[in-house]
Amino acid sequence: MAKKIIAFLFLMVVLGSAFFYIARREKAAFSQSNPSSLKEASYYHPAANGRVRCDLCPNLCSIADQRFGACKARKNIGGKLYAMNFGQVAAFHVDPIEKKPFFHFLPGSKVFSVGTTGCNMRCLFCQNWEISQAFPGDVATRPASPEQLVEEALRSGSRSIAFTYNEPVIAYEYMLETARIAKAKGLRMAVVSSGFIEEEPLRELLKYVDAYKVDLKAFNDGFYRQLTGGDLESVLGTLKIIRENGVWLEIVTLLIPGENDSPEEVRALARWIRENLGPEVPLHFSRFFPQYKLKNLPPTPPETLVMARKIAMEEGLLFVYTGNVAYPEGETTYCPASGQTAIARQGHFIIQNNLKNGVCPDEEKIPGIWN
Amino acid sequence: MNTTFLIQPLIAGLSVGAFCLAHCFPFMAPLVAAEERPLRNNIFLILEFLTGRLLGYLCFGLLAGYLGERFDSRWLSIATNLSFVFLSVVLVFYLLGLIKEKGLFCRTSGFFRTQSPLLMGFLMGINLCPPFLLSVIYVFSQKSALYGMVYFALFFLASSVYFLPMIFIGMLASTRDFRKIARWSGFLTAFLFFSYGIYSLLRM
Repeated sequence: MAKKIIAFLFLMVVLGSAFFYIARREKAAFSQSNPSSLKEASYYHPAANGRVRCDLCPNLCSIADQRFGACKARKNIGGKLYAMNFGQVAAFHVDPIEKKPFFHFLPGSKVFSVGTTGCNMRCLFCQNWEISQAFPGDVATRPASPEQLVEEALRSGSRSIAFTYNEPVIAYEYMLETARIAKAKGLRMAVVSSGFIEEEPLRELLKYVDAYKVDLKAFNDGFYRQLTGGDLESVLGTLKIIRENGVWLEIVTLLIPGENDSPEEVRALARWIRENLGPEVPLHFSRFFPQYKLKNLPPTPPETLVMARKIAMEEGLLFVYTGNVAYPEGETTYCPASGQTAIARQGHFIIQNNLKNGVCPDEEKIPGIWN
Repeated sequence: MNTTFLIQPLIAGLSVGAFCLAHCFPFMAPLVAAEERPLRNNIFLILEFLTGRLLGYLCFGLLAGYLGERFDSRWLSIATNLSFVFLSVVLVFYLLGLIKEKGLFCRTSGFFRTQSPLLMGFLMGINLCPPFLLSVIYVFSQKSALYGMVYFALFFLASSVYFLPMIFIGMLASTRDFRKIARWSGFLTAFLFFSYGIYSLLRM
């Protein structure tokens, strides 16, 4: 009798696992091909031969039926473009805002950070390549509606939501809906992006965004084209538009040895920021560590970051920081006129905050969003 | 070669190994349990199956490295569905005794003299699971044959840990009734996946 029961159980387990496997595949296939369960993308138009042209980012992909755009997130299904990563969270954490890094935006607060899959660039040094170079379904995701994201952010005690980790622009619809709801509930909205986006969708997005961090990856177009798949001009255009719209902007440049760390390039970058965006825009120089496809390069020497900070300040930028390196001066915000410490940080944490509503003890106002 | 590179594939293998086993179980279990064999032969059979799986992975991995980009998802689906169909046919042939296991030290005669567990493992291997596919892309992005070989070897070793209990399923095959049930489960599995493979190919 016992043997018969074991045999029967064996049969059930084998068939059960077969059914389970088929059901799992079918569920994935259904969710990726059934338009009624998908979110139609914005910013595209039909093109010839069943193709669609995506107008969201400067890649301007012409996408054939059943194909994805370069971002691996937007798919043409029957002549309509769908945002396949809508509501699919690949990574979420409650982080200190300094980790993004934002140094002039709600310092010391928690930020509910969300990432999806895909990216419209192909940076050879990407630190989140597992999700940024993945198609929907390649990595485990958790479904979460924009409403659920906002609810979870509120529950976590975060003061803001950030779309980060992979490129948020390619989750445009998800980010926009979340931002609208977040605004209504009193949460701030931050975007951590490469800035590779077309003007029209950017202007629409900026209506709901409080802070924008852009990775200005280099100040030479050759670097952009060879190492990232993007272009410099588009990103510079984005930076100007963000400033024009009064959204708080911070810039990060990852200094990669031999690629974008020459004193001349750093000087040109800092000068462009001062002349086009203003000296009060914070600039963070970040240390490179061998990643993804650039494992052959050494980490950035800390002296390079110190040198870059010095050059940028010589060019007139008021708030220049260093990241991924133990250099207290580079983590500290100083009141520009008096040179007093406004905020001292260690890693992602604040160890001293002398600002009151963004005002230094000597009454000097530091630009930013402080509460 | 740093330690991170050695740990990464081990962690990846351990984290997706259970998924790999669940994936292979419907085919592997009837294969192991349908015939009574000594424990040593069961171990060899499972090793053969796993080697086939590794070869399947490597084939896709090499192609990914050669192309340097992601596979087109449509071709990947076609390959997966075709592998279901062939896998089902091989399983049925095996259960009907039309394909015999090749002896380790002697030659068997007949048209279907083949390493069927190896072939089935290979066909399972080309049903790449997404985490493994991502690993493949990562390995080949490193542009180092040595890194690639070490990565695959360690990933394979770590994920294969989950397959060890399969050896003991073979011990259940000592009774005639159990072998009969195992055969029927194999036929039903083959029928399910054959139908599913054809259906999936037709709707593409």
